[in-house]
Amino acid sequence: MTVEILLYYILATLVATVFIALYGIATRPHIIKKLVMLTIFSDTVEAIAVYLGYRVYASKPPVVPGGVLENYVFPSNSELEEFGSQAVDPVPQVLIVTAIVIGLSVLLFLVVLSIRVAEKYGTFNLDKIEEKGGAYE
Amino acid sequence: MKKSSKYLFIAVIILVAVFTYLFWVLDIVEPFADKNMPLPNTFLTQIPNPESNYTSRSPEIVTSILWDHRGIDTYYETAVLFIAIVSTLYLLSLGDKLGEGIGRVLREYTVIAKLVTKLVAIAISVIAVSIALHGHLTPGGGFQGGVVFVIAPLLLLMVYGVDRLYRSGFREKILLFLRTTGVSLIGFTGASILLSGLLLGYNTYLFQNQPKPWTSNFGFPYQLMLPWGSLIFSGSLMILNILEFIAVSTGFTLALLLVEKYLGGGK
Repeated sequence: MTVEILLYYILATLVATVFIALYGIATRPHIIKKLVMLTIFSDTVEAIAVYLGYRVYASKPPVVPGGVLENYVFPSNSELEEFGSQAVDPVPQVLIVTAIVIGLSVLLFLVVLSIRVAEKYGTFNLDKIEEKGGAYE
Repeated sequence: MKKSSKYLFIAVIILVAVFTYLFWVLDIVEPFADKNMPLPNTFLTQIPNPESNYTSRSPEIVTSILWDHRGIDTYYETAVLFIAIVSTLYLLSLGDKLGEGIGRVLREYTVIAKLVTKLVAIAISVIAVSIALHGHLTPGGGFQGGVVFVIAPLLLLMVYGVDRLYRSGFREKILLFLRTTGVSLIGFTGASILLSGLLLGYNTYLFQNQPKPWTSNFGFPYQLMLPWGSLIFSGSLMILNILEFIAVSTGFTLALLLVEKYLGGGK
């Protein structure tokens, strides 16, 4: 019961973080704060994706035990079956590596755009840019 | 009502709908369920299988999927990051410099912070290299090791300032050169068996560098027999991990230096 409460508490925290980050993206006028919130948003979604592969009764890391450099013994078929039923889902872990890299690329692009905007208007604050005639609203 | 509030309202409705669909209709969050997932179970039992012909036979499933089952995808993803960093360099060099405080330390840190940073930075680098080199056997890999490694230059940057990084050899041109070399060599490693097969007349695969007895007897060995013992190689996974470690760590450090250079100065 305690484990159940803990697991759903973690999930609820992650979902709440997604909404808070979304609130920050929409309401903060400062571009850098928007970017920080965007990063928190994507990272939380990735954390939720990893969480989906977790099972209480299958929570071992997806690495076959006994992977030593010397005298390596390959696992037998029955050991592999047992391992497959006990390890976590490796697919989301693979997919979020891609998501992290693409997220960083997008972030770099957005930072460059922000710097160009700040060079033109002298500020990162979208409200002040609007006062100076920028097309925000 | 401001426009941003309208967007927020729409986005919240969409997110609530997505989460409702995922969690209640599809019911995908079930930590107490029995493990009955066809795709992961196939990966988990087939990849480390020594009799399996189509995988790297590596005990580390995540790295195997990354470099064998979707190796081209991972290569393009590394290339995307590379292009992003190169275009950032290009775009930033077009404008005037924003930050005046290049190389300035914002606050003088105490001896304790400086000494601890020095020690921890060494430890982080060692752990990062270990994660990268063990990626084909234990949890980790080139990308993970590279990401861990970047924490060391980040700490040095925060405590000592950017000059300290330059003195340690973290210069933009060196980093960009290493990054380019890493990405090129990853592509070359992935294509090397294919090229050799084309020249020698074997059937081979792109980014699948294990020999496959049914179709092609040509490829990287998964285990090297050396005079002092054997070395598990997992096909080309170890080489790819090392190269990816170089590419990711230098690329992230480069991004860090750029952000410091153009946004730094504590304004």
